[in-house]
Amino acid sequence: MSRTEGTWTTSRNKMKDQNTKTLILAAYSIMAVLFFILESVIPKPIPFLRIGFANVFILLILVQLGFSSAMVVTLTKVVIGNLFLGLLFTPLVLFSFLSSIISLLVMFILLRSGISFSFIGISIAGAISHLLIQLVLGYFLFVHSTRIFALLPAILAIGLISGLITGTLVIVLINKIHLTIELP
Amino acid sequence: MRIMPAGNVDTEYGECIYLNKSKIISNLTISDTILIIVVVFVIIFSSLLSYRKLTNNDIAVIEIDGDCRSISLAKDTLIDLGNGMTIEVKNGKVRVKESDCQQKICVKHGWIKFDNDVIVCIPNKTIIYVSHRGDMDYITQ
Repeated sequence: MSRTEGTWTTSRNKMKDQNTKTLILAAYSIMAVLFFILESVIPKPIPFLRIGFANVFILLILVQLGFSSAMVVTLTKVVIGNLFLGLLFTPLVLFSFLSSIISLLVMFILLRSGISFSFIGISIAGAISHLLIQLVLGYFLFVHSTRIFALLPAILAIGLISGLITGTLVIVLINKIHLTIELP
Repeated sequence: MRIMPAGNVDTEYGECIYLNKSKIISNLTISDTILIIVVVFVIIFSSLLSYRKLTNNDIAVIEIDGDCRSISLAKDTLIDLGNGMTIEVKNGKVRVKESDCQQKICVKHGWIKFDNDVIVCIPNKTIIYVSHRGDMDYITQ
């Protein structure tokens, strides 16, 4: 092998780095799917009444590894989560898919913009956009009546509370645990 | 694979690419506070808007076991629905005057005054609510 010592170690470091990123991606995807399924299985009065713990991990990986990794976690959450819930290939997946991606885009734009939002503000914006997209889709696809917008205050209140909870969780996780993964 | 605190191992793998100091502090920033205040105001305003007072143009929709019929709220009437219930329309409001069901929840509900109010009588399979005329395409299907 004609490789010098220096390039060998950098390429090994690069490989290790890549492996670590893949592991972080896998771990966060699993956590997002797990919390998505657990939240959906818990009995509740209204179907969309969820805290959105999966959003914690999507925001964490958006901060740590960037937009494309966060998109992978989001798509994994939607596809695998709905597969386990038995909802894949039903019209409900469209709600889940579009609202998850648009709320990710909103959070990404807010994170990159110069506005001094903390994680709490970003998760509130993400939660509210997630719920609003579902409401608008529900209006266009299923209930063609403006009466559905009577749900607007309830939806905004749910988004506000769940955004506060997930944002606080993200801050706690980033500050206190600050996990990193070491290969065997 | 081990998971360890960042201080003990190579911290470069735990680095965050979009992170600046202001995002880690646990206090709310000014932007957060503004966002929360705006959302609370929108919640209050939209909940006030959904409590719209009824107008003469509104109709009462009566759904009996899936069959819909509508009554104008413009003139005062007393209607026998044929299933033991009597409905009264007065001053642009609607209520169930009499019912042969046991608990009489529909009668105790009183008048429908607001847009988003619904009277339900489970034993008689009857739902009464108020709608605009424009919504009829959807309701009658």
